[in-house]
Amino acid sequence: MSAWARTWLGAALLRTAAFKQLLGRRDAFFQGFLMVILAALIVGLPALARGVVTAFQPRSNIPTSDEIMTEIDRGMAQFVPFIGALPAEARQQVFAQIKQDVQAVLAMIQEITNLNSTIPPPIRGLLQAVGHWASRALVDAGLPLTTAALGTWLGYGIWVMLAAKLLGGKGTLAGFFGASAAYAVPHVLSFFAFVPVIGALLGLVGFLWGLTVYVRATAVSHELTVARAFLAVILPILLAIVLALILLMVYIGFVVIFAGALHR
Amino acid sequence: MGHRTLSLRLVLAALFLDGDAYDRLRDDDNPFIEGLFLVVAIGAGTALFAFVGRLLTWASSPPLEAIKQAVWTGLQQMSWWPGMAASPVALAAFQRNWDLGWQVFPRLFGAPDPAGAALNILVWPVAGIVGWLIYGALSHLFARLFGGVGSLNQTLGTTALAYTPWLLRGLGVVPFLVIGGVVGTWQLVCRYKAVRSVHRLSWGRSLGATVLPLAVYALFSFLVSAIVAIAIVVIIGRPA
Repeated sequence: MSAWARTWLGAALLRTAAFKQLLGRRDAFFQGFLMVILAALIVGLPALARGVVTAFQPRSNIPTSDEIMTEIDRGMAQFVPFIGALPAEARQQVFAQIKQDVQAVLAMIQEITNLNSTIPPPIRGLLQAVGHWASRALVDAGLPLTTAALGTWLGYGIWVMLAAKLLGGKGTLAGFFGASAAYAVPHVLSFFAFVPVIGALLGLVGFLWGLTVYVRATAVSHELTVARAFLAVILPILLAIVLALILLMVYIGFVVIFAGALHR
Repeated sequence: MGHRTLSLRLVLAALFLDGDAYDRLRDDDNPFIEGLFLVVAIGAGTALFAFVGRLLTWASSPPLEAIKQAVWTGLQQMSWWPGMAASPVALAAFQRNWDLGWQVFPRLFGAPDPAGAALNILVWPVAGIVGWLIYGALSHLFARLFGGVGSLNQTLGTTALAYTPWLLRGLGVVPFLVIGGVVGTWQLVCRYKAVRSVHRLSWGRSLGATVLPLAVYALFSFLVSAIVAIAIVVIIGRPA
């Protein structure tokens, strides 16, 4: 195994020496950038493969509207007990309307899919799959640190950096970002996200493990105790929650006052 | 002709937060000129790459008019359509909003537009220069207020290095790529490095000088929005 991989594995295994090795590098930020991108691209490989296969798949393999309509029938049947009070005739009418609208949307999608473009559909599908795969490395939806992506590494990192500094941290920007990128290593477990149940469990393990690595990286890079580092890591999200609650309360207060004024 | 400090190596070093890159540009004989060249080159270069990506996306997509027609045909099969179409007034109003919507929303949601992307080859460098000069001047002002020692020339030179994250926009050469807010965040970090390098302030003061110009932007946007809103209310409320 190369020294580079050994260092990142060591950091993922919470070895202080590995973090110090990363911190000591002049290109610590670049190394962190590489690690996050690499982890994100690995995690996205199954989706890329699926996208490439779909791009070259004959159209008959794509779920037909009949299959989808059968699923909708099944879904509506499960919904019946919740609208038991509705007369059977009205219920049938509502369901018929829903089915008609869904069928119209499916036909619309089918027609748009079959429209011609300058670049033939398989190449278009291939380009889309590659574009989505690369996008995942830059930005990925989710709570902070739940995914390996540049957006969360940098976007959440600047707040943790600020909290760590306020708590007495001594780290540099490049050092902190370089060391904290090790959180992306355990996220490689999300590669198996396509496996039912086990994939989700591995994703959870990757998140908790990544969070632990992130706290350790913050502690080492800022020379803080683990307790302070943990506080620095959760402080931004706690503040965001408190701020959201305050805004919600202010909004509710305004609504109540406004409704009261209208009632009078 | 002065000494040329700028190089691809320096640009990449600045992008990856190497403090030496900022110090070297700070100590250049004319950081402003180097910065100006950098902002223009990055703006135009990345717009060119993004244009190629946009062109590929456009070529991969069916014509907008054909999509519009397919959706229109689909809508006519919906359960609510006959009820709405029975009223000529409702149908005319729907058609009006429909046409207006297709003029506004596709652009708003990033429908491939090669002409707009080609125009960016001019727009991005110009927008870059304007943003760079305003931000540079404001951050210099705040840094000096906090006790900074750098010159305006140095501040402008190093804050131009904060445009290196725009290189990510060049990845737009890959069709269907979404870059998101990474560039803005990365730029903020680079700006902090730039201000700190030039003005030799503590981390807290450097952060203040980095962030306060953005607060000025926010305040200015709020004021402009409020003035526009008041103007609209006054115009609408005026008796005919």
